[in-house]
Amino acid sequence: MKTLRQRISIFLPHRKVKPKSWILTYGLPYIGVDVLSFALNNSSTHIVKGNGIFMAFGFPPQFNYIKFNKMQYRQNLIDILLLSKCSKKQLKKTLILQDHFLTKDVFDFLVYYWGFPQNKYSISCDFEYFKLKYYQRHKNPSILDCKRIYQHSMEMINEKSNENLHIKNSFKICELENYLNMDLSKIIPFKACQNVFDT
Amino acid sequence: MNHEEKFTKLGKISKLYLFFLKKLVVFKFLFRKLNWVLIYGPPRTGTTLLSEIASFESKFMIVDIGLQLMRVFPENSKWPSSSRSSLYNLVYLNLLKNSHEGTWFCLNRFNRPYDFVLKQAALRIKDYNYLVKIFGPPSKIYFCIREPSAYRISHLKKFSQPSHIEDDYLRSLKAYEKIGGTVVDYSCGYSLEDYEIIMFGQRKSLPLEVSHKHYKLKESNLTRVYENFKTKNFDFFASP
Repeated sequence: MKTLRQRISIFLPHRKVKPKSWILTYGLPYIGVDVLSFALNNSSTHIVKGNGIFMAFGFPPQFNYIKFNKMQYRQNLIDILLLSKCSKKQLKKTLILQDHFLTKDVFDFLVYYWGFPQNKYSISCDFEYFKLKYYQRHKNPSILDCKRIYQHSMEMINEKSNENLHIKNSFKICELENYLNMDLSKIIPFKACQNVFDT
Repeated sequence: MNHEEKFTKLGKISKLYLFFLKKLVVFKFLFRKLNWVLIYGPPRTGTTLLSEIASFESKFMIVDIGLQLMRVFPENSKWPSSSRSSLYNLVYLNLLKNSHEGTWFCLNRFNRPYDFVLKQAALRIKDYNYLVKIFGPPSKIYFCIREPSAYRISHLKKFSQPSHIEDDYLRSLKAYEKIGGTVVDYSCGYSLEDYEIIMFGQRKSLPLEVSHKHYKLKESNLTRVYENFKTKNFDFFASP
């Protein structure tokens, strides 16, 4: 904020950035939420990864001595997230918001701000399979961290368990096709019956 | 009387006065002419006490907002720096607009040279840089410190996070090298009058009680760090 003009600009009412419509993808990290979002993506959609918005929603800590307009802050946060990840053209498309660590707090706010999503998709798996994937990804894995991530991500999935795709270690692409009710052979260049989440 | 009660007990005129003061401070923010006091240091080292005393001469007060928490998501998501700056500007303005009136606002004093006191325990250097960028440099800076064995016990009692004890202490000492300021040692057992003289240069007779708990000294890794810090920065230690 070097110039007075820049300073004045922060006082001016900000343009609210709302997608025309949006689709939510969430679920455990490392097991294929990216593939899920990718499968849904086409020329009329745009993917925005908001993994871990809940961390920003934890600011400021909840103490009665802190006075802060939380709603304003959250609106600013979501607006700036979209502006930083989408061009003007992309904002006119259907947004696919992907968040591995979705919490109820974040979901409720998005519904309040953007309205209900067109669709919600999530992926989960058993802890043993998740542990395997977690250990493959991390250089310094810790079982406590692994459990913490699993429990955190599963909280929201458990709440909406009827919308969820629960995979095992022998997942097949046809399962994803059934779940999404789509033909993925042209979208995902993987061989049928391959474990897409292990590629 | 707690803080909320003090606020609700403000009369209509006081609230109107408060409203105009807030507008004035926000206007000064626009021109980067804020006159503010920064208080920082490891947690449990008297930062809260000092900020309460300092707020006697300030219009508003911002206490322990956890500035570092705000940065985690934008930094992890690799936002461009312009987007991060936009968010931080809006957050700091939000904080200022919603800041508390000083603890002593109910005393109906009109002489309040400072616009606000910002107290942040375990302040990160990055957050200090943002504060300076957005509010301008602080008029006064106080750094609180405490003898490590008493600090350790108090920290453990309050937060029950043994792994943070050394981190918070060492991080704060490191921040001091960059930020600087007058050092106030909580272990000296100063009385309220001493604090008043340190901060205002004269006695103010604030209606506040200052009590110190005494702990048995116990050598630890931090003891040497504390002693070295004292030797190195002896000239910056406040004394009444």
